[in-house]
Amino acid sequence: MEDLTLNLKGSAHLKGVKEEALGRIAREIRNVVPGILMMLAFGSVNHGDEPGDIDLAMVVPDGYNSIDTLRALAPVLARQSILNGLLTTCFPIGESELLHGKSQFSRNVRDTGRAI
Amino acid sequence: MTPVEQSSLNVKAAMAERRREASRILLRAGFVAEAVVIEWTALRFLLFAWLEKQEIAYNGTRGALVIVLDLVKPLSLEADLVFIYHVATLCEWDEQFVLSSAQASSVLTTCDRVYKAVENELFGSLHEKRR
Repeated sequence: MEDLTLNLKGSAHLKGVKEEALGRIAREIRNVVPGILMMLAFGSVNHGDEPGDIDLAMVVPDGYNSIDTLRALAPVLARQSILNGLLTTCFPIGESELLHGKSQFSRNVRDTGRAI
Repeated sequence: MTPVEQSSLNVKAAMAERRREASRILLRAGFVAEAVVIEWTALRFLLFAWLEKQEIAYNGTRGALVIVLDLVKPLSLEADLVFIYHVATLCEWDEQFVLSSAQASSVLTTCDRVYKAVENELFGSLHEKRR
């Protein structure tokens, strides 16, 4: 596996959404989806006092079956969204795409993502 | 509901139906990711109409989704809705995201399930008469 150590930006202070809550969500996701290489929080959850939503990305091996993964993960994300009153998303991203992808999505994850 | 409000809902439902037809055409032509995106916009249209009917204010698609997730929970459709949102978002924004025709059909089937349930909530027996 290529080195996934990126220059991940994002401040450490999460006032609205506690680290503990993020950690709990990440654990729940890992329980449902085996083989996740890394979990990242990206976007507004990493800045501001009151994040509008919780955006997570799960780094998966290239070629991972994203549809089946999302199907399995959906109940967890729905429950967390209702529980927190914040839309909670978790998008799969292949390791190559994370490191080299040029799409808006991959840039966003790479530029604002923070490992949780 | 006043006749004007009902008429407005009917117009929105008709527009959503047109998008769904467009989605089917795109799927048959092999534009699978595009079909999912259009199908999602149709469903989103109906979800917004549902919130409007209940006079629930919302802020953007994501704000609306959180509210709708609560509304569809009694119908056990919250996971379906989250699934559709994720796939449609990836289809729209992630150029690396690959979806087979069979997978797209499966996503559209899930969309259809949610769509019909929301349509039923919106129009109930009135919708049956409208058809």
